[in-house]
Amino acid sequence: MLFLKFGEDAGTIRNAKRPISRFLVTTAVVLGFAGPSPAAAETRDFVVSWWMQAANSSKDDSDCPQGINPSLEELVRQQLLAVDIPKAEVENAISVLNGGAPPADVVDMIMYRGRHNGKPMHVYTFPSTVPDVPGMTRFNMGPEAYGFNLDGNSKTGYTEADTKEAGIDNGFWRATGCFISHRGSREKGPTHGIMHWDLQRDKQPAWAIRVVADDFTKDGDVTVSLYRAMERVWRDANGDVRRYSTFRIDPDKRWQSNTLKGKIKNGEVTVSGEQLHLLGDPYVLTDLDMNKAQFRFKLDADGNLEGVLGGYIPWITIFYEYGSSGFTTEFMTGVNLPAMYWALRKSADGSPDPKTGENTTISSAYRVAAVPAFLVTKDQNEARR
Amino acid sequence: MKRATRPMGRRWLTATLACGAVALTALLPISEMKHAFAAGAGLAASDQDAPVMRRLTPAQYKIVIRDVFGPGIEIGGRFEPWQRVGGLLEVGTGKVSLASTGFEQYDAIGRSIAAQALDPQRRDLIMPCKPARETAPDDACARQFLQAVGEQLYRRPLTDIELSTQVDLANEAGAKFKNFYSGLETSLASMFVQLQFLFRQETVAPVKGVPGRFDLDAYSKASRLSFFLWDASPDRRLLAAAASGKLNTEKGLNEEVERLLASPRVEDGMRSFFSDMFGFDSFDSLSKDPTLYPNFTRTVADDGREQTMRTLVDLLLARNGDYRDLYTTRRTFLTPVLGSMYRVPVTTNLPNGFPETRWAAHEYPANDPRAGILTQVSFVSLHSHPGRTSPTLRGKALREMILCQKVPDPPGNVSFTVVQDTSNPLYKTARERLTAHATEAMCTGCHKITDPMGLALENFDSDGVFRTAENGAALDTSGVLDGIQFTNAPGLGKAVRDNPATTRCLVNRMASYALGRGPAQTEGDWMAALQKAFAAKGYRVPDLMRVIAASPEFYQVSVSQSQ
Repeated sequence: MLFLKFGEDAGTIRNAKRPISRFLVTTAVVLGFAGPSPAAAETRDFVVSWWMQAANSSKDDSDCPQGINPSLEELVRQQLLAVDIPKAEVENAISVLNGGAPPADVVDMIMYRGRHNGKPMHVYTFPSTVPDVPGMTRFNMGPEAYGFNLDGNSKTGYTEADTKEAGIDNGFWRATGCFISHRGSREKGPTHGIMHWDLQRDKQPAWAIRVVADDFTKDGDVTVSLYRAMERVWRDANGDVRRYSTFRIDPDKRWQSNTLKGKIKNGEVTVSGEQLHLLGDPYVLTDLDMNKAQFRFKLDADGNLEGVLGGYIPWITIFYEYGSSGFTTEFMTGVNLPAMYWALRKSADGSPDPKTGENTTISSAYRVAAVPAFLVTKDQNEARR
Repeated sequence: MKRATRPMGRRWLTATLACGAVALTALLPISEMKHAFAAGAGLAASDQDAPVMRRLTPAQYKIVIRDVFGPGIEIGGRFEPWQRVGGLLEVGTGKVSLASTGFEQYDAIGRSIAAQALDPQRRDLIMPCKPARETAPDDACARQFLQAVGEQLYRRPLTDIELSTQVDLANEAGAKFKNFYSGLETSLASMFVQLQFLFRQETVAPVKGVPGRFDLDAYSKASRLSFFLWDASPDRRLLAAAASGKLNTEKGLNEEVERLLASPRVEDGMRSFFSDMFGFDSFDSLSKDPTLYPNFTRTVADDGREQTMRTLVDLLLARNGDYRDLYTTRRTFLTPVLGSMYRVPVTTNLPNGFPETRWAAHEYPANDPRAGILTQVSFVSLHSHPGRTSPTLRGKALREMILCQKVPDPPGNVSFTVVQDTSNPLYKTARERLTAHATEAMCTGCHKITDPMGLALENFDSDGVFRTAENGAALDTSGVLDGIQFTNAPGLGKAVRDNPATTRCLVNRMASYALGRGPAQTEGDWMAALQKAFAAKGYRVPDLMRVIAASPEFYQVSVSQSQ
């Protein structure tokens, strides 16, 4: 299968770049690790343990008045029939889909169900080769969602589920909130988001957060920085992210400008900034490229951080977050990826292309959880060696 | 059954008297120590009998195989269980036997080792000769190989009968398999299940002109010396010194002692001794409730054990420091994963994804609540329950392992309900629970000698992480050890450091470890001399090892032993 070969090749290349002998192995206990903040300020460091779409499904599915998105089987049937595959073959493919791991010819049929000038097209790379037809996408119309009023217009959008603020922009939730694997709540996250982040956090260098305030017990100014670490997260005995691990901040300048500023009030931190940019994992969420970011969180008694981060992100990267693992995603989660493509594209609400006028970004909200950690800069790390 | 029918009053009396004996032992002056040594470690009279044979420990077995055949031989299978006697597994090795199932295990392990050792890729490194033909036996080459390897495995030259038996076996099997190496492999595998290999046999010779006195023979001396200082079989030079008679002279013995002590391999000996003394074999079965202690993983346990080993090797060997400082030192070593337990940032520049097993030196600040090995993850986690701390277990471990004072087991009918219920709002802290528990008369005596020390370590949870409160109640970590009061764990460490039983216990344990038995009543003068020498040398452990290894008493056996 194509995606497996792709992964294998990439793995070989990646390993070839890292001969073990190139690395001098040393370890250091780092002193003065509090970071470059003013001496009087208090710094708290965290490593992200969970990062997933902030879902807010109603228990009775009333937020999806058109119903939950059709099953993969139903949509694949429609799409295969639409490209003139004989009904008997289509029904065979559907029956195989329901019976376990499908054979390669069925996988190929589904992967190449797109058409361009009559030729089969790979739908995970070229999702628009499956036309958007009525009923293929169903949007979340619930009254409440998590997120922020990003466009300043309080007359459009959801009501914030926690703060009850009006005008919340969350096109991401609108587009995907009626896919069965995206439904969830604050207490029970969406299946897809849990699965993806659980994979991603073991594969990518950790994402880290540094919070600096004069006094966390009082209202006042706060600065929040997001970093990419050089280590992956380590797990504890329960499989959760280990608390109080140490991470080196990746000195790459591309990840050094993720600074959000704001206030702490009644124990809740609210910050915003123009741009966030973090490299993710090439096979899951390639990168985080968010503008007009806003972040709202609290710190609990155990020192953990939990909150909602929102902003506009290129909608195509969300599609490829799912599309990169193509058939596996469809097969495992029942999400019809061309349908998701059209839902995202139609829900995009930011950064219109100057030439076409089509929106290139989509408002979004993520639930972010982080546990206490130690962050050290390159200089601090090397000072001890 | 006997215990169950014993009247409660007598059981209580027994426990109380035993606890009283512990306190008395701790207060004995040095002049009276020679009698206390035998009893102080809780050794029964039978422990004073010298072992004739000591079974190789799994660690020693592996080291021997590595030394003879080189690194890379995989040793699978499970070794026979062993038992702790007089506080030491090494003493227990002289008390264990070999069951048929254990024999089968050793046989399987031995066959695997023989196959690997004579594998075509490895055999050229260990064979001193080549057979005339590979498809047939070669008596001369087999003899040459088996003689050389046999001496290393049996720790002495093979007798003529032993050698000819092994060579005959190699020839017979070689002829049957039509392969010289298969025959040799069969013979070699058979040596791995011989008692001469599995057990450290000691033979004695009468001392000329001194009726009734026996000394170990030179090869037995070499084994005692090597296993004591290196935890390994004698190397070729030591065997040569035994063969030449050099070991039977004071000068020759001292030269070999100095050579072995100067080798980096003495670290193996030191690690083996302290691992035994501190009961670190218990790490193999250590686990914590992941719901309560999610950060405690197998890696933490392994690193915690190694942290203590590195701390003591650094202090006692690398810096030739005072043994007593082990209980107060602020110097240690950490890995990144231990850093998460100690709340200390520790980084490695290993490529992402490599195991986090590299070490960094660390020194606790002067006001840090941690000082000495009692506050390390190894001690506090090993002597706790899976779901809660245990001041009693910690105090008991301190008394028994570090001060050599036996604490009796609790009577069988004691109710631990109050101690175990950590959710009882009336007793939020372990101190409160133990106070309530100890109101029962049968419990009071023993808890008095364990809990005041263990409670000083309550700042360290069952997983070793620092805390200041339990169930919201602030912790009181004050305590007392043999009349010395303290307010916290570093204070306890200092009290242990300054307690005369601490160094006395080490001498007792090290001598027992070296001898493979508890010191006999007749060896009281020697033990007192060792204690004096240890003090005179500033409590330097390598010096104590030197004094023991060079002592004639270390190689002498009593009449009853030889009988």
